[in-house]
Amino acid sequence: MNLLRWMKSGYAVVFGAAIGVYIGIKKPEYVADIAPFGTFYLDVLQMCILPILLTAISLGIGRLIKHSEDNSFIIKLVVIFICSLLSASVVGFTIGFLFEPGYLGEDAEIIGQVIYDLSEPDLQVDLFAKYVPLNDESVLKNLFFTLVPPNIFNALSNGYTIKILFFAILFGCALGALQKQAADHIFLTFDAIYQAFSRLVQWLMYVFPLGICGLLATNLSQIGTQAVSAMALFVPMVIVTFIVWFGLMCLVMKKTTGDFLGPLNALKEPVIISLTTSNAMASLPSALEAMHKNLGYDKAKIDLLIPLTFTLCRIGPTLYFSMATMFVIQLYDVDMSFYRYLLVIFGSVLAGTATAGSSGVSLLTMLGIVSGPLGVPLDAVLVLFVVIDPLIAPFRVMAIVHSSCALISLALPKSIVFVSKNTGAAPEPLDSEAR
Amino acid sequence: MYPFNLVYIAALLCGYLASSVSTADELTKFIHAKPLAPIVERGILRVAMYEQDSPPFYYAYPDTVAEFRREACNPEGKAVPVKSLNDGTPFDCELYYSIDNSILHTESAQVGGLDVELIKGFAQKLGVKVSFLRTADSLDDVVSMVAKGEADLGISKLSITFNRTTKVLFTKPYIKLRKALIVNRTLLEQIRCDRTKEQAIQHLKGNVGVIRDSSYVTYARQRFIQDNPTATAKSWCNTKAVTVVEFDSWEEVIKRLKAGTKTYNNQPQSIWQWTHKLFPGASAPITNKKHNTESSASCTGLKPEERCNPSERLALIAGFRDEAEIKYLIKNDKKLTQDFLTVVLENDFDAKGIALPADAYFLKFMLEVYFDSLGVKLTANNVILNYADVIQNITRFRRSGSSVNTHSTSGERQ
Repeated sequence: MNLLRWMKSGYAVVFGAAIGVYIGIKKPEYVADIAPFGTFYLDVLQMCILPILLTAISLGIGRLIKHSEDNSFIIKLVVIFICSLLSASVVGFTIGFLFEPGYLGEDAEIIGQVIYDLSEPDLQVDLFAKYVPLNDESVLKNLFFTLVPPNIFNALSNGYTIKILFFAILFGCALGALQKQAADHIFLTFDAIYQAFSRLVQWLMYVFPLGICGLLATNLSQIGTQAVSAMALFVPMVIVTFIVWFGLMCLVMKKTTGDFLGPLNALKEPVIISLTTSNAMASLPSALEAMHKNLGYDKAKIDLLIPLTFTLCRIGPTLYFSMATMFVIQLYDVDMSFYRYLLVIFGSVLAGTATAGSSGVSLLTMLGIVSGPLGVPLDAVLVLFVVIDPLIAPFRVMAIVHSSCALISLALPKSIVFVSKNTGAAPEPLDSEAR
Repeated sequence: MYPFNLVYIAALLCGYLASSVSTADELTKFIHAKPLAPIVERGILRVAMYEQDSPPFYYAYPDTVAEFRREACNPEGKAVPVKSLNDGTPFDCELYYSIDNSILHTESAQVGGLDVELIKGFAQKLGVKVSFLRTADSLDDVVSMVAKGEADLGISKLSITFNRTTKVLFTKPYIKLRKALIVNRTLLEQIRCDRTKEQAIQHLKGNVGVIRDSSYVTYARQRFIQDNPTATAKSWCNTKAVTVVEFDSWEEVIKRLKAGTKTYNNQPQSIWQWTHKLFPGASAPITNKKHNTESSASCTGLKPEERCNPSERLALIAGFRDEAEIKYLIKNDKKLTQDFLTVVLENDFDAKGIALPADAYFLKFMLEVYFDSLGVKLTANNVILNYADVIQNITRFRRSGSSVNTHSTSGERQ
């Protein structure tokens, strides 16, 4: 029993993380042995996420329609979304503009070496093969078609987050429109599913120290050290920017909750999980719990807003994209004008938002949305961003998770049952608001 | 009368190879009165060669290598058996001194490369010395030297083209190289128009640099010159509009390409690309119309700057040559990968052969048999990336061939 309690303590997490970092950097030969723990932890966590996502959103929206009178927070939230995305982009742009990470000097040699080693040797083109005509697909049309799942079970089994989100919102609206008796029945069932999976996630925290060890070791061993050394200014600049942004968001939380350390402590778990898993959705259950139980926000609203902000309010990618674009622009020494700078800022917001539903390396290809109109070639340097991504992704995901929580706290009315400085708060009767 | 002779000789030669006699001396005796007589009597195989270098196919050893050889192999070329040069090429003192000295004529020792090594081996089999004549000031000049009888054969990675076959005889290709482009990534991005890179290459627009009087001038005209002079703005993306610019040497092409990387076309077309993406109905006004009017002919003449439009002359979108050259270039200056993309044209081969006088069927047949018997697979990747291995294979064959005087090698018995 003591061991179990210890495994859930902060010491065990720090211990596990330290071992993971040590193995990942100094003893890569042991990575293969320890990696399965990380994979196991992440798999079990992801097993719980889709049911929680579906039930949380359906429940949230259904309850809001049934009970809530004041829905003005939604408009407020949309405004906050747009403002925060723009400010993230401006911050990234300014940092990139001031520190000029793309003017490399001698490091250009190493960058060339890295690109040569990692990219395809050459492009093979048949000059006289039939030409495929211009692709007239519009971004808006594409987005619309990715929204609607023709088969919800297919979407669920493939884990298409955006499609599931769309379905869950519609389904929640339909639930809200049902007769009270029938609706109550299904709310109860959904709540049971939701809680059961939440309980599973809580149990999983016992093996978190092992998981963190495996995940960190795997992540760190994948970093292309040569590329990191070549981008000696860019990588630290990005990480420091993310940390500064984290501090800014903490200040936002201080304004909304009136306390600085309290919310920091309350959101400790989702932040650590996001840093280790580099997966925003993996920290969804703990973020839901932290916002509701530790910070005392209305459960129905939290259940709806947290998954929505995680997928749609892409603060992390936006901030990163504006810095990465500045890097590429400086690398290719592109002539810039005021107009082009504006293009970087708005393009990064657009590209960041387009990453909704994608994660990992595929997310990086969205960088083309900014670089394309600027006429900057991306394909050569994309491999650089791919090899340094194991180092960047944790911070990018942390920015998504933490900023989302902070922005929601800004949009929602101040919490009533705020349990400050007590992460182990006793769970409240969850059904109380549902009836 | 002549074809009959040829068949007769060929049959004899086959029989000769099938039998277990293979010393160079006996071969020389055997062919003494036949079409090889001039070479054998002279005792020297005269090889025409382009005066400029094209490593790793043919090049003069730089001074450093000569120095290395002096230091590594003195005295009597036996001090260090096998060493590597800085570029990883194996350097075999015994081979270069005892064997090369026996076959190389005067100053020819200072050249190397794939073509050169192949011919050295052949000369050794033939039992004659070899002299590389590096006076040709263009590749076509190599061909005409052979045609005029000033040389017994011509090397220098010669493309087998129809024009050249009217003057000389070519062996069947010893290496087939695909044609390739080295493309400025930034300029390519500007003509990409939302398409894939492959499609943009198919509809290349801009200036393409080639070597003057090389077969690539014709190749480029056949492949890239604009295909629809009346193209409207809307179909601009889907038409080719290339100006072929000739340069005195490949180095000039590269220099001009590098100069173009930092010049940036500051066109305000970006916002249109976006509206085009969001609302495909809206037509994007593309302002690059100038390409349509000014790309009708390639710029020829002594100075390309004078004949071509001055506003366009600086930026080359691509250089056009064979894949080996382009891979070699990138391999030796990896920094280029950031700014340049290498593109290999599929199913578009440039066959390389050895040029021979128009009536030298006998020599052609011998050369072909020699290439086949080497058992080395020559491809661009092999030659560029595993050059050391390829050369070692060829020279190993030479050593085994020279050391066996009375016994046959297993390879030739089959």
